[in-house]
Amino acid sequence: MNSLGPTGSRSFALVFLALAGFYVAGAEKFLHAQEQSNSAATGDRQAHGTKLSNAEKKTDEVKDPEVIDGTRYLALVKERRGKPLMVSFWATWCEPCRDEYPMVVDLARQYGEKRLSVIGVSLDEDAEAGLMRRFLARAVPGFPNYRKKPGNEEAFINRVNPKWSGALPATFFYSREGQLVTQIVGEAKRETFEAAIQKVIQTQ
Amino acid sequence: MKTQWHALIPAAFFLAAVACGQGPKVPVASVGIGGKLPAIQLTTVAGASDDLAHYAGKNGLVVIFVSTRCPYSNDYEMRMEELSHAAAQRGLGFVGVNANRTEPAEEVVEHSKTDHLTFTILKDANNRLADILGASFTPESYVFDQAGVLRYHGRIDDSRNAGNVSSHDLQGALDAVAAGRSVAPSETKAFGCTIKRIPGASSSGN
Repeated sequence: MNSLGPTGSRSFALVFLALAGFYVAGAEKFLHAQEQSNSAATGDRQAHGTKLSNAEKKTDEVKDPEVIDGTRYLALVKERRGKPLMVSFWATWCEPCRDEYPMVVDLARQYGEKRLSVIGVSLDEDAEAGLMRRFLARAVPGFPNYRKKPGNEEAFINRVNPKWSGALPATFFYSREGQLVTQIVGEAKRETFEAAIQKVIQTQ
Repeated sequence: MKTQWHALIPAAFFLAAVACGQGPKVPVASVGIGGKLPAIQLTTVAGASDDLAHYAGKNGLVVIFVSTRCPYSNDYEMRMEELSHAAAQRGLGFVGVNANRTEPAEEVVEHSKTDHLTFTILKDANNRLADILGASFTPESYVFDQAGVLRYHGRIDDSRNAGNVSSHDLQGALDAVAAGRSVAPSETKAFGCTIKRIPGASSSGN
């Protein structure tokens, strides 16, 4: 029943291996490709070397985010009362999260610490901690990031919000009083984020 | 050979980019705990239609939504393989269901070969089964009893890292169903990569 001939099988295997390589390496390759792309734009091999070493330096400078459980998460939200809060849940293994993160970083810069607190919470495992540090070094978020304590996602998700399925990326918006006002689960356009931010900023 | 690989890079990036897109919202399940196994035909990796019910054993059926590309799902593959054997020993059938629009049958076949998966994986074209069951993630599991009644829905266990598992939820559910006992808890939260649905496919039929 297999409709693939020997040549087709070989071609498919090549495509599959290419894809598998991309996914297995995930963000690692994505980041490296970005670095190569940036370097190619300069057309300067020397600059390429400098960029890579700078990226590596930056990775070394990124501290391990604090590992938190659900209770600590709620405490973090409480500590930030007095200002609207946006929380971005992400993971390096979640490609839509990687796509969305630069926009979150940009929104945090646009609204500034005076008007909006922002924190990130990674759901990466211990084995992905290095990748996560490298991702943060590249993203330069400018806001604190934390990492969920590995294991028992259900308990953590239910502490954050029992109505949340756990789907990533997810962004939660809290009022100045620390009340959850709205949330965005899954990818969304910048306008959707802006509307949610405006809503939470205007909530008294 | 080198030229061929270079030629494949844009294709790989294109497919990866397609794969990352957010699918439509997950429909509310029309079959929940206590509901009946849907009378639905899925597609074998060889392209033939087959009733899902044909895969049930005398004591029921385990259905797990799986992925070829999701690191989270892939970390569970060895456990899925072990659970498929445990299910068989207890008289339950066991099928993986791939509902991702981004992962064609040929890729499922290659992936099973590469990762030494021996349990059957069916394609859920147009994510009809995923929509009926309200499945969101890979992996996400369902256990139906001998009468085709859904007795368990949720995670496989409580840790992606196999070394840190403390709650073997799916194993407990299939043990209970095989023994004719009630499953507790009957529902847990699954977690993993989201299923890459075809927008509007399920409601528009085949």
